[in-house]
Amino acid sequence: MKLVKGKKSNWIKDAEYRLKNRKWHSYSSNIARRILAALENKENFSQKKLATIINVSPQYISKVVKGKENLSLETIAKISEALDTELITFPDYNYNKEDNKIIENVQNIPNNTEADQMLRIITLPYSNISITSEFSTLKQKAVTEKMINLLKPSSSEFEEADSFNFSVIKISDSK
Amino acid sequence: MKISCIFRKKDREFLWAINEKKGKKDIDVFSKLLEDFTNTEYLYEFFKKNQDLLNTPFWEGITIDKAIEKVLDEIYSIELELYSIVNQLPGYQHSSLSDVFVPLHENIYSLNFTNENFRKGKANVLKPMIRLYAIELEDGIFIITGGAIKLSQKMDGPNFEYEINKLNSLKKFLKQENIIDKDSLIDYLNNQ
Repeated sequence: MKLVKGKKSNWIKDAEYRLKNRKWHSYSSNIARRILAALENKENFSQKKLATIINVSPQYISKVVKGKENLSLETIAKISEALDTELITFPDYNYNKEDNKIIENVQNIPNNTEADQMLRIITLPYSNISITSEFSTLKQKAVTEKMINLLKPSSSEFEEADSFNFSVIKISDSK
Repeated sequence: MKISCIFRKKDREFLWAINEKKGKKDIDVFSKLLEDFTNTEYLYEFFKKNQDLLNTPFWEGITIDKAIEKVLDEIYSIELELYSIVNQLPGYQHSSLSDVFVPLHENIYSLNFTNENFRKGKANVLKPMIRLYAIELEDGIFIITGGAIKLSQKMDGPNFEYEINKLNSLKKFLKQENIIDKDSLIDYLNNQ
């Protein structure tokens, strides 16, 4: 059997690291995107300026915007204040266990399209469930809009908040 | 041309990649792509520059935020699938690289990571955004030449011509050096 001499790739080691740390990498990337957008929207505000304000090196900010840095809450708060932008938002947590269970069950329906899930959520006869959903494509928005229009005449208890903003769908209690 | 071994599975299957310059570093393209495609700043700038293509019917107006999320999800799927194959994790004892690379044209292959296990609940992965390109030297022996983020239906997106040129350069190089299988490739690399 022939083997090749020389340096081997570090891929396996790197892959293990990325797979193991996937969850916080995703958080870090989300924060990085918000920082990049905030920097872009502010006039005369560079990564270097941000570094000066929060008293870190420009190299550190450069790493942060790559979305691979394990940021402390303190650092996130400092950047947030410097940019005057919220980098993390917390959705309202539903403390009613039963409602959470219903939402979880619907989300876990296997082999289901997002549109099917939305339809099931909308037609579920449970009360006071607020579902926040971001639509990744215009098509998904359109499908949901169509479903809402179909359901609306026969379902007086249904109301959508923010008039077709499609970010919040609320099902009110009919009982 | 420098070629690096990414991994081998039981000495039967190998994944290789050509090397490229990144700054002053000489790095295999596979590692370079993984580095770039997990770099939020790189992806943010790429999608900002090509935002018009995200608004075409092909990507149905996907937001930059979702596009970045999608690339990160796909990279995760690619690595998990390859890692599962090379380590023969449960469910992958009989899987091979040939299962994840699909032919594009003659012996040019593209990595197909649309395994059911990895797209559960992720409808968008049905239309992958990332393409990795490779040449199959012999059964189960692949050499990756590069990759791209696919932004249009036809394979004519940004950097695609550059990727085609790299595929052709590798084909020419293999022919020129009379590299026809794994053993002749290893001989070549050991004599470099």
